[in-house]
Amino acid sequence: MVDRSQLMRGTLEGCIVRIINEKETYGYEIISKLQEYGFDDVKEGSTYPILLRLEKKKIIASIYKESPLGPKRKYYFLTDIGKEFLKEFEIVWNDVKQSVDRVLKGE
Amino acid sequence: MFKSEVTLLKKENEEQSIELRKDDERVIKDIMKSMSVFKVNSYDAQVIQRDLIGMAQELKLRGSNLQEAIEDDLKGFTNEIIKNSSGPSIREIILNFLTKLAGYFFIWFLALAFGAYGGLSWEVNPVIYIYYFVVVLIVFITEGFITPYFCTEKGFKKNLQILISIFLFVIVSTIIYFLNDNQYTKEVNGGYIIIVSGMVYFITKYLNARNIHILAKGKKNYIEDLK
Repeated sequence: MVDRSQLMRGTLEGCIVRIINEKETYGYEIISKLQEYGFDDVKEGSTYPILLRLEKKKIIASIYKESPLGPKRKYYFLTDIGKEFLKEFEIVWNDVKQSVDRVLKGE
Repeated sequence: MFKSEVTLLKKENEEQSIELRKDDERVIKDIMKSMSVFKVNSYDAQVIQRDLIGMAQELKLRGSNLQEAIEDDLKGFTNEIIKNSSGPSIREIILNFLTKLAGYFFIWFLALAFGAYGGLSWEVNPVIYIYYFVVVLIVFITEGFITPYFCTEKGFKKNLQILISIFLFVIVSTIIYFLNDNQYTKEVNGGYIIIVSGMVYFITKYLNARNIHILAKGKKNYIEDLK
């Protein structure tokens, strides 16, 4: 059987950066967006370690802000390094996608 | 003087933990158990705890909980977090040990001077102090591992780890005291040791607060809203 989570692991990082690039956002909103795009089984358990890793690499940064719902939320935003990372991710992803498509179509 | 960014985060985490559900509290405790000072520096550990509390609060509002969000892979989740933190701070470990060493020596010698010998100098086999050093090392390592177990506790239970450490120190030190060979003795000036250990205690405590300030450098965004 194909291990979907294994296949997703590498691409999720780029997808999260792309979502954060749209606007300053928080954990739950990132998960909701990913689920809207079809990443149904994504939960906090898979996104939080990625967010930590992206922060460590200074691709994203965060700040705590008041939330209309109650407790403070950690909002993430993209850094200049993050913008560069996203450009690079899009190029690499398109390359990989094209290669995989060609293999699958037997071209 | 001894207050640091960690003090600020600990206070916030304690306040926010009050609203947590029991099952979420248990999951956070299970995760934080692995965050000993030997794996993650105390600033990062408190930031992670703050994130987990925030996550649990958000999930609670949406009718879910941490267990559901992490699924069954608690160990994998914890390992990933540890891997993506800044890791331990060797300077913090050494300073913590020296603070503990000086603190225990200060109290122990004070107790010996006024409780056992009734004066500031006495005759004893000096080897006993090497044993004391080893005892503090054992207590320090034990404390490093048990402290995270009590990070989500409140009230009396929160101080249980300190009591366990003191109990361990007193028991092992007393055994050593009675087993010690007093054939060869030398005069020890306890007064000097009390003064020096007291000074070392305050200096290392201050340096520890300074070290945490360095650890938090560039990562102040996690506490900006708490000031």
